[in-house]
Amino acid sequence: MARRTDAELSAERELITAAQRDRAAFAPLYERYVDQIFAYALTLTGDRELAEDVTAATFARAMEELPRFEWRGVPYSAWLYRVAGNLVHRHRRRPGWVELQAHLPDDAPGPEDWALTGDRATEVRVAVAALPDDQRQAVLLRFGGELRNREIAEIMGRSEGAVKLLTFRALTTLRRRLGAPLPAERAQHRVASGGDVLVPLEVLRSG
Amino acid sequence: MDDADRLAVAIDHPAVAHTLPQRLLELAAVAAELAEVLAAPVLTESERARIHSRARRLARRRFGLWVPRPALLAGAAGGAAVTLAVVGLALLRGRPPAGYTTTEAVPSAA
Repeated sequence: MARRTDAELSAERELITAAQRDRAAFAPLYERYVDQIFAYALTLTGDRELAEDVTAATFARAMEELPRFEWRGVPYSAWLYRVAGNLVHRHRRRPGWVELQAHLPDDAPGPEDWALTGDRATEVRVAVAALPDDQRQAVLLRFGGELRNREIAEIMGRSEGAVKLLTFRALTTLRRRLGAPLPAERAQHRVASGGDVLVPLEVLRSG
Repeated sequence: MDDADRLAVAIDHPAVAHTLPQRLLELAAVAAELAEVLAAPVLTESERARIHSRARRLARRRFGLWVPRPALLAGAAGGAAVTLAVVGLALLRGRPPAGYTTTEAVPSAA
């Protein structure tokens, strides 16, 4: 899976520094992370509207805290995920604190719609949505947020070992539900469907 | 090292995945697929714009107006200068005109 290189982290640090000097420069950080934070909030809340509210509140806090933000050598998203998680927990303790705004009917697809579209990515998302809460959260932070186990452990308030175990169990469940076709089967699937969204095992083998 | 540890290492370092037994290799393949699917965008452009606009509004209203640090320092310096000027003026006004002691009456214009 994609890992943050030192150069990427360094570039992100420069983005943050630029945004601290000029608020308009926050836009690239927002664009980079808004989908991830929304997906995480949706995972925690199971409610698209609430997830949108939590995402907006998270980025509002990010803008407010930006002048005081101190770089610690981890992706900026780790901080954003922690804020989003705290906001959701706060909402659970005091429902209604998140200022809900009137939402217009939304055409964006939800899990039910995903289930009807029938492609492989949809199948994967539906399977992830069906995981137990903590496994789903670990998987989303690990593979959607590209965070390391120790960063996930800090966000979830668990040990690093617990995060590894949650991920392992989640992958075992997903393997059972989704299957993991062998290279030959993938090739057949590719020929049959005219395309393949899967990452072949050869990629993993060759590194 | 147990299976969860070995898998975690292989996910971080795909180059070592070939050393995994078949059952763990299949889990690593699922992990690779998840990385691809879950990294894809989930919001539409209009949703992104709506959330951004709402975040900016909340940042201004609920969490306070964001002020860049140089502006904050300039504001503080300006405030201090005004305070000093006001105190100085008040002290000058409280002092009697030159040439009179505090026990002497100040002649009025009449």
